[in-house]
Amino acid sequence: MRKSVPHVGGFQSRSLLKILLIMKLAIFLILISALQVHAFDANGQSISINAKQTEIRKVLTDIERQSNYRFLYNYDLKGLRKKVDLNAEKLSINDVLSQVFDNSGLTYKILDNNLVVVLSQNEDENKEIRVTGKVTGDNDEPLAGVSVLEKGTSNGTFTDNGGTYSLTVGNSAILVFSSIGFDNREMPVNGQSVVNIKLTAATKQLDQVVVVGYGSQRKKDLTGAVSVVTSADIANRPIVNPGEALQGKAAGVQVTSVSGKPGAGLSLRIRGSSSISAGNEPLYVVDGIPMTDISSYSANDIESISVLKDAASASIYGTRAANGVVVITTKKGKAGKSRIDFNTYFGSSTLTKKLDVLDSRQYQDYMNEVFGPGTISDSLVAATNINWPDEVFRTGNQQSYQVAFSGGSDKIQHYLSLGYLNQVGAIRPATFDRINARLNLSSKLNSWLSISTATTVSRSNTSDVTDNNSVARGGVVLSALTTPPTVPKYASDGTIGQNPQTGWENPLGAIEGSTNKFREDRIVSNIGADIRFLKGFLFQSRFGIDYKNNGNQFFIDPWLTQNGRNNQGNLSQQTSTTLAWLSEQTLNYSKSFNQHNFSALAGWSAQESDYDQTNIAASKLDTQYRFQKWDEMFSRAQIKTAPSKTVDQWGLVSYFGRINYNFAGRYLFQANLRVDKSSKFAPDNRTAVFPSFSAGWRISDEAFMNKVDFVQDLKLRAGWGRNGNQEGIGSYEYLSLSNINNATGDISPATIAPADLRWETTTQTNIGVDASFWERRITVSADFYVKKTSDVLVRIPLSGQIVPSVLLNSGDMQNVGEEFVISSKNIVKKDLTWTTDFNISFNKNKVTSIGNDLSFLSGFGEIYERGFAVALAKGYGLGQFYGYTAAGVDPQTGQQLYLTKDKGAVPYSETSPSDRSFIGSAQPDFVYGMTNVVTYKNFDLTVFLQGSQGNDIFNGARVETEGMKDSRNQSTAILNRWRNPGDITDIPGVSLASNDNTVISTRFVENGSYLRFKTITLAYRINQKWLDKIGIAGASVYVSGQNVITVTKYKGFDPEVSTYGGVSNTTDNRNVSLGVDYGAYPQSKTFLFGINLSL
Amino acid sequence: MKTNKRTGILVTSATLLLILGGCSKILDKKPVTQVITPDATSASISATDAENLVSGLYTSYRGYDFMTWSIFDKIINGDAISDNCYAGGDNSANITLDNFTFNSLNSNLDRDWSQAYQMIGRINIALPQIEACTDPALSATRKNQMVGEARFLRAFNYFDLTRLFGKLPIVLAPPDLANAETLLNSTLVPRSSVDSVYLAILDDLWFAKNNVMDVSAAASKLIITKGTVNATLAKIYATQPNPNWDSVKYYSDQVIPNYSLLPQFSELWDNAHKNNSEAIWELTYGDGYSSPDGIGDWIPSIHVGGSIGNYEGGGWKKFNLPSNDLINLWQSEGDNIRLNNSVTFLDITGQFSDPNWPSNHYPFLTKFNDPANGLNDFYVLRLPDIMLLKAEALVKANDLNGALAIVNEIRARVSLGPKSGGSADEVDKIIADERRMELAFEGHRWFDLVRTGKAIEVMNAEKGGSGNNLNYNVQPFRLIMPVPQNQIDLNPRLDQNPGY
Repeated sequence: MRKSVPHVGGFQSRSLLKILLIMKLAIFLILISALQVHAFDANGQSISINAKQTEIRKVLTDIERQSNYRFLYNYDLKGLRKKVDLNAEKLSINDVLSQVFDNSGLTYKILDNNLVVVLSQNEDENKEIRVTGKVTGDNDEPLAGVSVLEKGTSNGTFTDNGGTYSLTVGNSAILVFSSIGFDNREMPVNGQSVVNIKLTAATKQLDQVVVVGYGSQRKKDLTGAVSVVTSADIANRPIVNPGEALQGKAAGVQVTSVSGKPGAGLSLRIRGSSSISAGNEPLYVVDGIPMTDISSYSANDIESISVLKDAASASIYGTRAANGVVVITTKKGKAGKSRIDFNTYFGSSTLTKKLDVLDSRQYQDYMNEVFGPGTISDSLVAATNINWPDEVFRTGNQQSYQVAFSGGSDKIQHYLSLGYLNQVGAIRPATFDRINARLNLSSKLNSWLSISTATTVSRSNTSDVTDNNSVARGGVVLSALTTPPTVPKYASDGTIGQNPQTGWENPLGAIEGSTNKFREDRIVSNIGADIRFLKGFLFQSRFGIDYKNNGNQFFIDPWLTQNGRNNQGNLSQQTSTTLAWLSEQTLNYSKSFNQHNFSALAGWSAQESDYDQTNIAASKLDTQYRFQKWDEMFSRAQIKTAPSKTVDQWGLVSYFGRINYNFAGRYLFQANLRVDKSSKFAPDNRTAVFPSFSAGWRISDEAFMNKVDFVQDLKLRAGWGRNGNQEGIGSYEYLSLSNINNATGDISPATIAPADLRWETTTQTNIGVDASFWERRITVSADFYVKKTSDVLVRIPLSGQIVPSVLLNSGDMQNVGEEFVISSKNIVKKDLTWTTDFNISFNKNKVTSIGNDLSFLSGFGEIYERGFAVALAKGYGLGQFYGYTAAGVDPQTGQQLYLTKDKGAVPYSETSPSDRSFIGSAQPDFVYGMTNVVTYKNFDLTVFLQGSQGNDIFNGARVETEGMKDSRNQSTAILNRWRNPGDITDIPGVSLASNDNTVISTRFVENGSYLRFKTITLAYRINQKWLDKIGIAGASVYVSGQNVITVTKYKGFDPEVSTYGGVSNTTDNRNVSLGVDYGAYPQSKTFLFGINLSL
Repeated sequence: MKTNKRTGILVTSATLLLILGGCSKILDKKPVTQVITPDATSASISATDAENLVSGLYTSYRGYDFMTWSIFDKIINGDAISDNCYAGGDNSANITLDNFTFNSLNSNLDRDWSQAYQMIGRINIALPQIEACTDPALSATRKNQMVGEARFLRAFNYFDLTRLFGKLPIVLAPPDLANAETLLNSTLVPRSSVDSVYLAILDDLWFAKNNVMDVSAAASKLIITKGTVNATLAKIYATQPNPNWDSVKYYSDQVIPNYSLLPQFSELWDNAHKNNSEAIWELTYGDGYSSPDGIGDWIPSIHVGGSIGNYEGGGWKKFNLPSNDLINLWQSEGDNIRLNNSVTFLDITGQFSDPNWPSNHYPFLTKFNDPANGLNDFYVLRLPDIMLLKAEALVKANDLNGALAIVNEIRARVSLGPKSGGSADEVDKIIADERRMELAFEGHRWFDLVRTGKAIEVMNAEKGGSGNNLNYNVQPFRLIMPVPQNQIDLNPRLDQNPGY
């Protein structure tokens, strides 16, 4: 037996794979030419054989010739010589083989991959043998705990500490060796009693399957630029919006927290901004459902996030893909043992920084200088000295609980989770809480049909507080900084204390004087069917809905604040429902022959969205009712404003296709085409075509690379493609519209539109290289891209026309950038591993045209009373600060001086608007992130750094806190102010009622670069031996700090800030007004304790 | 096998069905809660919609979209820039206008330019639709009335604009919507001479004069009538670079017989005599915030101060602080009726302060006096304005007694004795003072000073609360405001006024 030569279809097993591939091609060609195949079985194969007195082994060879089945047998089996008669016409393999082996003394077993094992019914011939062996790793070190399994059975064992194993198997069994961190290997026993094997470290990153648009690909076959973030990157972090998971983790993705307010939005830019007045946020696709908002998803439910960055990978989403596509896959149940996972964390948060303001004595000194002696009396100073920042900025907290049940059988898998998250902000009454449930089910009904469904149900509640505004407009942050310490909390009648000079309330006015509550209920659900038919065909049909029910109730107390008393209370409510549905049908075909691998996709999709909003409002509420519930107060209010409705509908119909081809995984090619028709454009302009092509070359697979030992993988990628953008464009922007007054029926022209409004088109070229070196200890990726957007939609304010602005396809923009990713396994030892992942991205954004002769638009990033800090200009990137250049303080007058073109440094009154220039940019030179993970025995330490370099921030808050023009309280910086002629200082003197010292200038432009320890987490995995005794499958505890250390020169609360980045801003203001800090709700640092349990 | 065949057929036919069916429905979306503005050349609107369009123009002008332009900035530009008010408040745009240190970045001026042109733009879109209306339900007379009303509104906005900025781009047609480029280009209009602007204004006013309804036919004083048009013509002929005083007198005479002074000055401001016999053009606010359209005049809430007494406008320092000079004039004339109906003094000790008034005797502009309910109507044109213009015309015609008779008729209502005068210059001064006392805070004074050539002299002499000269040092170029820099950025064909 031991000497018997194993035969697989008569060929030597070593070259089995290669030969099989060649055979496949040959057989395919034969089949095509002979056209002998008329029908197919479930595997696409049927067999017709007409044999007379033919040896069984000859018959088996015939079967191999006309089908994909390969036979595995011991050449010495006597039964194989038996001659049989056979007349099979289009029969299945089972029908044929049962005839062939009838009375032959042989039996057979069909394994995966169409392998048929032929066994003797004779115990002797088929006897079990004891196999022993040693499993080693790359460096011949013995591997312990390797699973050794007889293929197709549950018969198996593990290697011991010496890497040896022993197992009794059938003598034609196949052994499967598997161990985490290593590639699986299969080895036929063929009667050998010793099977030694060497496992190679997993080429995990290469074999990793990456979810892409409408499908998945092995990472090593990718030809586009795709970044992947997995559940491991998300674990043990207090992520509220799943988009946060991408910050610092994905090269080319810039994530900015707009504010530290609970539930506040994010700004995500993939490879820079491509639009001015349309959307710049990526499209999200969650389990196949496209959407623009993922805030209702729990990060815990996410399995992986793929960021499709270049045109080639994103263009399958055509018109919605110009800003990149974020494809999110949620966790699914796996066949096998059922699991229960429970995760929780709780912690508290405080501001990352404290800003100091004047106390009442210092304030008195300042005020008496501005308004004259005696303005603030000693008795007032003695009576009241409130540190308003301390009153306002408190300790927030957050907590999260999530339980997930998953598991299933081969037929049905389930994943069910329930989560609750609660955040209390550092500034009252800002809170956010969310409860969400998720159910993923998939079921394999039979060999050709499986169905799946995924449903998320969530409710979130947000309580808002006004920020991003001056004290004059009730912004709570600037109110905290500028309310005089002498202002009491409440007046004697119980109303909010006011600054007597201005009537502005103290911050309690923003906190208590009004309530603004938002609720969102959302159901996202889809059902899909996968149908496999013919050979290599897969038809997928999916239908999904995304239903939202939003409510907002706003109330201004009629008594507490001046505004409330003027209005005698104010109540308004907005309710809206949005129903979007998607129907999508795709047909996949894949075929491999010889070394040619071919697959194709064709699809069709339709989407429709229907938004319906109702507004009601009322005012004049008698103060006696002001403590009642909102609905009761609404009933009591005496003036009811006429209700109004807004309805908005859009639809999108798309056809798309893709072809992938690779030869031996070495030469890779992909082409995409998508045709979109959108209701957002005039019928003549409705259709757009978006093609893309990409190719890859795995140089490391070339023969000439065999000698280059230190390179394990080397791949060159290049792609070109075109995408569109219609996000952020209203549904009817191509039409000139008039409003109907809901009370009187008046008609008023409201908008005008050019008849030729069309998509923005982004053309992107990407060149990338992926490589790994030194036994894959170091993996590197680099990408270079040029991204040009034409027909950029610009909302141009019109001089001398009906509307404030009109949306035109008049701009051009470009982004040029580079991205680098380096992953390194610094230490790999039994008890100690240390890995580092680093990514860095450079992007240069430039507006190449605004429209016609226009070279400059002001009107972005308003600073109250000072005008606009940000300009949009041809030849510059978005987020350019525009203003005067400060030139120090005149020691004689204490006036702030500014540089002029021809008069040198002069006070503001002698400047001219033409002395202004570009004085800073919110665009960083680069952003980066680095994750270090050190594992020592049961401890995991994760240190995640993230930063931004070279960007400026316009610190608008300092305009208010160092303005020295009125009764606002000021920061302690003004203690250094100019007071007497001859004083040399950079802080000007007081100037009553004048903004001359605080116009938009370099005085307030600061370096916004930062390096931040975003997350430091220490986790401890509890020893499994102890857990086993109490029946727990796994448990870990961790402590974690978020935003613990921030290295920055920025003088404001926090460099991660964007006053105008919030979703409530108009899109163009949001896109252009980058990097302005005007009293944004600051970021917090958070300390957490968390527990993860598995049952 | 059969199953698979069936599946294939099922899949294919289902796909085809899905692809072929329903596409056009998905893509055919029309606005539901707005209407598509009709293209005037292709279809006629209904008579009702024509009425709604005109009514919408009135609502626009008096409503929240443009109320800062139609009321608030009229008072700032007419009274705060002049010697009637200090800027008040703490808003630098107002303060620099008051102090004659404004430049082209002044946000009030940008707001004025843009709101006026937006109003004009709306008219330019509505007009061709009304003109093209062929609905038989719309009589030719009514149609011409409506066209006349719209054209009047356009002319009046141009008049207000040219008084502020001088040369203007003249836009009289809707934008060319063929494509983005034509649209943008149709907005890039260079400025025309002041004479051309007045020609365009007069062209609209001639049509309006011949077609709008008679004074007696209008349901309210908001509606443009022949009286409104004639009054505006009188003002224009007095304001044009070369005033035509014969025309001023002629059009004043067309106006005056149709109106009469209310018996009591106070009745003008008590909110109980809206649409009175003295009002020529009145922006009406009915029941203010309680009106069906919910539109109230909110401007008083930024004028009327203090949580003291009946005034609920809040405790902060309000805008348009009445000047010492104006209060002195009323007091020296013994004009308590107009003083008390225009200004209220409050004790604001412990609140804010201003160098020009003591805290315990601090004036607030209370001619428009109901910040809580938004009831106050605003008189854009009022009979005494036109009567006093006629008086000026009579002085120019050397009929000094006739001029004084008009002044004295107005003085008699507020129980002031008659004026008798010597030279024409003295009578002119009497008329100017009377205009100032009668029409204070109604947006006239600055433009009166400019058109009578007195602006520089008067402003450079203005004194503060302690009798100190305010040293405005007004240079001649400042009589015309700078074209807002923002508008020049948007329209590179605009040029700047000299001096800025």
